[in-house]
Amino acid sequence: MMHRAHTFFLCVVLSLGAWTSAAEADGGAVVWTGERLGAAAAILVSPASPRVGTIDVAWIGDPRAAMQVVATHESGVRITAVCLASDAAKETHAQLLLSTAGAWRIEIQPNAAVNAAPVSVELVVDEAMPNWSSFALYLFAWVPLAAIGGFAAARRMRGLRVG
Amino acid sequence: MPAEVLPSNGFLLSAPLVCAAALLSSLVYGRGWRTLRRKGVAARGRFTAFRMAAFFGGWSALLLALASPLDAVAERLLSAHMVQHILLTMVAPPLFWLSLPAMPMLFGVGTAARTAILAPLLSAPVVRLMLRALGHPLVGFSTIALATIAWHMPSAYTLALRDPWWHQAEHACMFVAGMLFWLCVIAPFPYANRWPRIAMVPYLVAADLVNTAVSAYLAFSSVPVYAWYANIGPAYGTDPLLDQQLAAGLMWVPGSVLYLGGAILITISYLFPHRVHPRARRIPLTVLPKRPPSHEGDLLQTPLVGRALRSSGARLTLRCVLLALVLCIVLDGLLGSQDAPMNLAGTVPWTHWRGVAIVAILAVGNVACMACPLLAPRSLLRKWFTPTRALPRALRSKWIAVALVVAWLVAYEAFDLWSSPLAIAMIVLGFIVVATAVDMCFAGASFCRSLCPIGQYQMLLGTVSARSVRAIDAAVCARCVTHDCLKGRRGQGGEFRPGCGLDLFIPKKIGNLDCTFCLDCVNACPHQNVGVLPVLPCAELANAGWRSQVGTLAARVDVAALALVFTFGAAVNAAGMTAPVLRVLEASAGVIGAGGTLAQACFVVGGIACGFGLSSAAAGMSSVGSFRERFARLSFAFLPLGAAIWFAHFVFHLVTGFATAEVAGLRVLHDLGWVSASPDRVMSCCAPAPAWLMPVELLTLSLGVSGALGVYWWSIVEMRAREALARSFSSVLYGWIPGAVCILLVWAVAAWIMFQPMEMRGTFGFE
Repeated sequence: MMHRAHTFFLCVVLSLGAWTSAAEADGGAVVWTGERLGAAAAILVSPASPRVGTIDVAWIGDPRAAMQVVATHESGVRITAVCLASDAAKETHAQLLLSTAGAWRIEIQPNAAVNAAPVSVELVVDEAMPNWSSFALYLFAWVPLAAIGGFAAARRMRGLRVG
Repeated sequence: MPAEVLPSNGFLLSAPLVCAAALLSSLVYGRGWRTLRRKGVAARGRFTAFRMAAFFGGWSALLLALASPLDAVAERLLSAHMVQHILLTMVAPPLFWLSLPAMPMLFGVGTAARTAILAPLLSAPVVRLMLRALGHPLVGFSTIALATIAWHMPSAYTLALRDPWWHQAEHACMFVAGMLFWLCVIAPFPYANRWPRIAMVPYLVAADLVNTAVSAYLAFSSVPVYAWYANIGPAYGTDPLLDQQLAAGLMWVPGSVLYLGGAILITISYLFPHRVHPRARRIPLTVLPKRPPSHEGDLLQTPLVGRALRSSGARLTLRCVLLALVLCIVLDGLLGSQDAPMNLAGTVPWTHWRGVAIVAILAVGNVACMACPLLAPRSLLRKWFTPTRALPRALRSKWIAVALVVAWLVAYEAFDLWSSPLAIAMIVLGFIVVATAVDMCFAGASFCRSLCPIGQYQMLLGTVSARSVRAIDAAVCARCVTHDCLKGRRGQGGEFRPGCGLDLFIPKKIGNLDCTFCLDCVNACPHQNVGVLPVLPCAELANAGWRSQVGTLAARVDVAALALVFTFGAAVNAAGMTAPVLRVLEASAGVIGAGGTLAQACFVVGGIACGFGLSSAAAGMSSVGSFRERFARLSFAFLPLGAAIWFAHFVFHLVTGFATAEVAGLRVLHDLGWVSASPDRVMSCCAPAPAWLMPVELLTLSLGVSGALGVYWWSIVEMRAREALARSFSSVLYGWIPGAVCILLVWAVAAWIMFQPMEMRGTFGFE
């Protein structure tokens, strides 16, 4: 009875799951949507809250090889990268190493050959994640708590033994 | 800007911690102050509104110094930095002592914490000796003089400005020195100063002399004393020397006013002895008796919310309203855009409901089950038909729930449930149909108790909650012969008031395990002896003895397995959204060659299996009790840590994705033709995480791991006591260490997850 119930519920849940789309390009934030080259297109940036370091810029739409991504910082610093094919269908992506926090303009030319209108989006990049040691106060807040608890426990047990 | 004048991030370090401490201590003080005032006229005369105002005044000064823009300005202007120091040493400490904090704080923490932790701690000879030494006027004067002179020396001051940690140390020194100094001057009840009151006059004058010497040195110096401000001042258009003279004036004049003003007041009180209050007598901890049974803290006694919660009609209305909301989400999932971030079904259940529910459960108890919309059809249909058949015994264990929760986690990760509004709508509909069908076939709350995976998750969260449904007075239950809380009864109007659908007998009920907070027992009890009362979070997990309906908890391996799935499922679920784990999964999918679904399913199942292996290994290394009991006890001890991981994860989504509901709602309104403009798809994404979020997440983890270590400790103590083994500290420690190492390992993994870049779910789904 139990075995059959397990199987039944597992089948129900798994069959519901099977209806869903298996999104290969999991994660990221959609920063632009629109139409280019006669098809719907979008730009995804990963991680969703970009910080100083490597960010992934993905173009979803009609794929074109050798698309160039240009990132320009508000101070004038310019970084370029070439898009590579992705495992996911209709996706090409490039990785950019952004070294400075602040406002960046990301520009993608979907197809220079046919002179398609370039896509340009603004991206605010945060400072790099602080080192874990700068959060040590919060990270190890349990140490004094455990010490106090341990001391109280030792005292209590001594009291119990004496009693 | 040269590296030496870069601003430090001291604000980030201290502000969230100070805010959290302010909130927590204010709650504790307020509770204790109210309790003391209820104790009689004498207490009301001592703990006046002025005391409360002084406490909040102290915190306001501290927050202004450490958690306001003043902290940032202090790195640029010496005068602002000096204001910070004045607040820390001369304003906040006397205000805190004027609030007489000792007794309200002791009464505010609750009986359990007072007797289990504070009483043994404060009665320890070493602690008493230390407190007595710290309260000596010589110590108070020495520390304030040392802190004032040492921290104003150029090398120490510059070190504090360059390094955020030293900056925090400087502030901590100033505040502690201020507290110790003003303790002898204010002499708050029940502190007894060993020096006569008049001796405080030269004490204050001497402190003023030190303050004057440092101020005069700064005021009459012809060059800027601190290189930091000399370098940074011109960049901000300020004159460093003028700024230094202003700072010296601020230190000198208000400082002297406070010190000498205090001395004058004491002299006046000495000259007019009839105004002098009698010296406070020392109060031993035995004056803190166990409270008699009362409604104190009962949520059901609060003016508006309590009345609504006591009414079965109001509870049913709440469920019906939520059911209507759920049906709207289902309709949007079925008929609306299948772009998950733009659909109510793709955002509200995953981002908002989960976050709000976990906060509410931890604060108030399992209110998420109480408001569960799945109960609405059952409540309505049972007005006409009440099933009497019990759920088959084979289905009453938690093994089905274990399988369902694992299946749910696998489906969530491997099939990306969150990305398909249609699937979500179908699952919700399926839940409503199955729950109603089960509850119409079997008596009580059969679906909630054994089959609902969400309910099991929420009940486990409830075990670390700060409130529990329990009897107010055990003596009333002992006299009761009708047991209506279990069986139900007819009301005065002839209507039937059902008893507990989960067969929990209130006098024998311990904690929140298996309790859905439906509050039927509140209406069924003819003695109004059931309340939603405050409890020590996690305390029920250390008590693994017999309890109503559950039986002997330590013998319930199925519940232990559920607890492990809960904890390790939390870690796996959170890890599944981090960039490094996703990269590994993508690489593994390529190696396996079977796509990402299998890799993610293996990741979830493997992660949970690792948890079982780890717990079994740790339980096997100890010798106290049976292996089965050790395994169960360790599994229950993991629950606070599991709850902390879930909390950190869901609150992250709630905070960063809060705006997604607005976008999905606007899209629905646009589809209905009520709003002309269609919201931009870009708006549906997550906001950057605010600076306070990471400290809150890490603090929650710290609380979780502390709770887990504490629960496991008391579990070992209880096991040794039952086996009549020697209960020495070291023997318990040896039994505790393997499990504690295991708990710390999970904590380390969870902390690592918190520091990883997060790949926000539900932001993809573009077609």
